[in-house]
Amino acid sequence: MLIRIKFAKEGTMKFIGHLDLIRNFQRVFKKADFPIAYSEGFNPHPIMSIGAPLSVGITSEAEYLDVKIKEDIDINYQIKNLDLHAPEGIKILDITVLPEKAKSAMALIDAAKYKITVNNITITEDMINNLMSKNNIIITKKNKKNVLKEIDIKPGIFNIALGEDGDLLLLIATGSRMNVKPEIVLDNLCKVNDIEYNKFDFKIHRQEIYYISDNKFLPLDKIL
Amino acid sequence: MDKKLKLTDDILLSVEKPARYLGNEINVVGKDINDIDIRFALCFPDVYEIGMSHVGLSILYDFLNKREDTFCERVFSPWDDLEKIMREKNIELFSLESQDDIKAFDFLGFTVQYEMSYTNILNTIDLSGMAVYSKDRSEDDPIVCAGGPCTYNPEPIADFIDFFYIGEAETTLPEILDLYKIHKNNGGTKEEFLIKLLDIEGVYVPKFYDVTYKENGEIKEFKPNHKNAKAKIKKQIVMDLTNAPYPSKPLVPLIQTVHDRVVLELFRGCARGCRFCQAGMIYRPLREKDVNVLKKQATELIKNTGHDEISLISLSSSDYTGLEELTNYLIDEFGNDKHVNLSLPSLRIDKFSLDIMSKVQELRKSSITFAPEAGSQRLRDVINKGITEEDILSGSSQAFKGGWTRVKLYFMLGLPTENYEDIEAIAKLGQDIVEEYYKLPKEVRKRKPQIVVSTSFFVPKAFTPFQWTAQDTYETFMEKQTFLNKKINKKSIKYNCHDAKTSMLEGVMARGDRKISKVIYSAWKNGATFDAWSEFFRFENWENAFEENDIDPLFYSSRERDFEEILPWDFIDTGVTKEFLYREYLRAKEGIVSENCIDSCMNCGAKSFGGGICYVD
Repeated sequence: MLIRIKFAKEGTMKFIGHLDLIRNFQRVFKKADFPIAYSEGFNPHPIMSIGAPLSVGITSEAEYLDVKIKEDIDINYQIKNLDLHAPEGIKILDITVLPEKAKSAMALIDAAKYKITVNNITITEDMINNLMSKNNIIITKKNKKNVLKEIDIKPGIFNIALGEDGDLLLLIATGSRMNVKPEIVLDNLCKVNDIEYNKFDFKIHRQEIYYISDNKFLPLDKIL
Repeated sequence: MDKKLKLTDDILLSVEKPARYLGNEINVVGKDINDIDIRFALCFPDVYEIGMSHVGLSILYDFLNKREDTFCERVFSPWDDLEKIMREKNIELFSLESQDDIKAFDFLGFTVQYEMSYTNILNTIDLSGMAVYSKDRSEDDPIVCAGGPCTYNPEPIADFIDFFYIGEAETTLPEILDLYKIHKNNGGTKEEFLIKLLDIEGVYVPKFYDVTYKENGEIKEFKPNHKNAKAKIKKQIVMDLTNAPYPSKPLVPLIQTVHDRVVLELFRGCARGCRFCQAGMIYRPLREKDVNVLKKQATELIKNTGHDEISLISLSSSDYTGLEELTNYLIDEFGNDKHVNLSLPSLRIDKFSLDIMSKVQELRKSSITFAPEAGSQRLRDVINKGITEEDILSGSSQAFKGGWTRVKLYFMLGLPTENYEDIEAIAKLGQDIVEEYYKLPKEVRKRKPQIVVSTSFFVPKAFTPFQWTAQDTYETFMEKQTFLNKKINKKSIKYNCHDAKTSMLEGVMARGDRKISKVIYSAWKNGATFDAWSEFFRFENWENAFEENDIDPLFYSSRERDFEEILPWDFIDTGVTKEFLYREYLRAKEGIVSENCIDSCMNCGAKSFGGGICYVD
């Protein structure tokens, strides 16, 4: 049986990369005596995957970990149990049982919502308009063969707006079909408006991960 | 609430592996500074992932923090990317737990595990904003102390360290801290405290000793300059390992380190008496830990860490009397659906160990390791390595029959009395193992065997029977390596070798005197840090340092000493007598083997500790 664990990644945990996060979850499961299933073969490993790994430096209130379990679980108990054993900065929020033929998170994900808090500069509606009035927003990116390639990220920006505190709110393409990084959007926003900014002096927070169904953005644990 | 961090996000996000600097691990200790009397910064002078894999550090951290009056925090060498930023922005080195500057601490204590970390010690002191030489530090600076295997010859770093504790810290440090607490409450100078320390067994305060030298560079006299300073410093060790403090909730790093696993310490010391091995001599006598305590700790540790591997460590695991009982228990308890692996380094390869390994590695057969150290039986007798060609060949043969196809072999080049026939014997032994494999019936030989021969260069160490011997020069080492490289049949054997420069420097440090302090200082000034890392090691830094101080490294590394000569570490009493070591040296030269502690007592002197294997029938 597959389940999807929703968790938050906060505080100093933002400095822990994807592979280390997975290793930490393995230890959480062991400590919590959680009935995770193992793969067969020469080197059995716990079956789990994260759909859209979060870059180092970004916090999140909605991460999803898919896990195969070998027996039924008491969901309310396991939320508390896993949370108890998780490192500080990882908060277990919810567990959803997936239907038998559910797509993996990785195959499902279309978009994610981010909040970027920038220090030292003020973002205005005009600045956003300057960016979005362009026909395309071209970035160069190395592809798998290590060749530089030009990509238009504008179709991947579903929504861009100013938040109440002057934060930049983004709903952008995420996942295997198209992937736009929030810091790249910020970078292009500043470039278009000729603004110098400190590459490390802003905070990015992921608020939700979505898949698109019938033209609607649905959170990853909202299973239809 | 978010943890207070010394480094800002923009710095943390611009360096490699920022998690090295956060102090947010599982089971990390936090204390209110207002509730404690003593702040102890415990430093492993290398990068985080190395230091965090060291069980000694874990033991020290645990037992120091068990004291209510003490807060022990960790500090490691910042990686070069962060060091550069720290120096640019004048950021001083800080502890991981409270993220406070090291300068705010009462003690900065180093665990010194290898000679090539000496420049990192200097760098740590400097990055903390203190003077590197003890004599130049102020009253406000923390007291800098050091312990660990390298400090059995403390002299090369004696000018940088305020005091050393010789032996196992569990015994000495509590006494030192008790004394410090009284001293701190009553008020007094650092000098006064160091004088009080002279009353504690096992403590060495270098400033209260003077060394004079003969014209030829040898030591003329080593003597106390304070009436309370002891002429001999006796090593202090834990005799009851079973009831010694051991962490039940060790730190679990959030990033991958060298060893992420539960460690069980089977015993300390070693019964074997290999003549090149410093650990085998300085940790005598062998003291075992009770098997039932180990079983209990295994369960507790897996529960508290979530690790998926248990490693049984000791110098020669096969000698543990409860090994079979322990491994059977661990296999029953953690094998199968619990998915916990058991690793048994330093296990003698025989039927018993292969049986155990078959059980723990049922599906995945990793490699079999032998450390014959020398290629010929003659030379193995010289070094008293009690393993025969027959042991190795039959062990390999059994391993091949059991399904293993990878055999790793470790040797040393430059052992005393070594000749080119001994070196050629390394190549032959490797080839003989290959042939053992082809003796198997064709249908069971599924693939080509992988035989890997690795050589390192012999470094004579203090407190071993070879402490008097001349180390090969760099040129000789490299000639021998080239010779062996030509002799090894590369079709079936992979040969791992490396440059001898580091080994030569280790040779100088390991038997250096106080004059070497200046060389270490100069090398560090020239830019040497992380010398144990090939990507950072620059031999020129050291070459220039020897030149600047007019010191001939060969005087230390490649000179045969007389029995009468005063050795820089003679004032330290490890319990093993100099007479025994010399007897062993003479026997070595004649190729006479000595019995191990299990079979018979060779009267090394360790019996004076009143326990351990010396008193087992």
